[in-house]
Amino acid sequence: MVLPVPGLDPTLPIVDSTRLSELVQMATPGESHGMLRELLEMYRAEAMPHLGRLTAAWEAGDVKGARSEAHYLAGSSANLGLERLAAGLRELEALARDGKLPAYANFAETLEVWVTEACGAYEKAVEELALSL
Amino acid sequence: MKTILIADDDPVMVKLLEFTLQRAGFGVLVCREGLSVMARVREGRPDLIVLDVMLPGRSGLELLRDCKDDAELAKLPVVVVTSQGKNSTQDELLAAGALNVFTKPFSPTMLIARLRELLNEPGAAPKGI
Repeated sequence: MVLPVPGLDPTLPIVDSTRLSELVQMATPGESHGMLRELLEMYRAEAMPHLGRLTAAWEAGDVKGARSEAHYLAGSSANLGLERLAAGLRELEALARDGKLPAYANFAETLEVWVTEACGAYEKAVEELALSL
Repeated sequence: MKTILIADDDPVMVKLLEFTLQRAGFGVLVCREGLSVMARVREGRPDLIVLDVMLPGRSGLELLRDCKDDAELAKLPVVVVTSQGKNSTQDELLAAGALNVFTKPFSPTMLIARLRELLNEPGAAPKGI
């Protein structure tokens, strides 16, 4: 599902494999799979309430709130390596920074699909990684 | 053991930093919002702060200025991590006294090397990083 966000590149990888490799290198051998799964669970638990606040701020025309929530989610997504999601959220942050909060149809649903898709792809990448270790 | 205070509201980032720093042999303190950072610094006496820019309550830039305005804390090394890649933001942070600005997502290896260098620990980064 795509929001007509200007500048959003749907061809970006969902998961940044370079970032995933960096995270794997941080863990001691045998620990990386568990660490990545733990990070993903933390991300999921945190992202959902922030998505709710982003939607509420966006729909209320609260530029400052929308910018702050989009910024938080973009940074958190990028830390984990959720590249396309982070890029989409950065575009939303940029719109809010410019004071523009266009009324998108299905805004909340689309964001949820973005996050679900990103987390699913990440989970798959982590499982593949576990098999290759 | 040198102790580092992580001031960041993102639990994923905190977990990553905590894991990386502990594995590198540092003690870790954590603060997840801006208003309690200065109290945590005075109480925990960290050797260095890794500071996020957009903290709820008080921003990283304000906290950086708070540290520099405090005679006791003015020399405490502060490294900033930010999602804002804009040069103007980075220049402002460096001018306010940040020793380094890392844009998220950054390489944990590079961060550790720079922290070791700032703390005169073995395994520091080559000059210029």
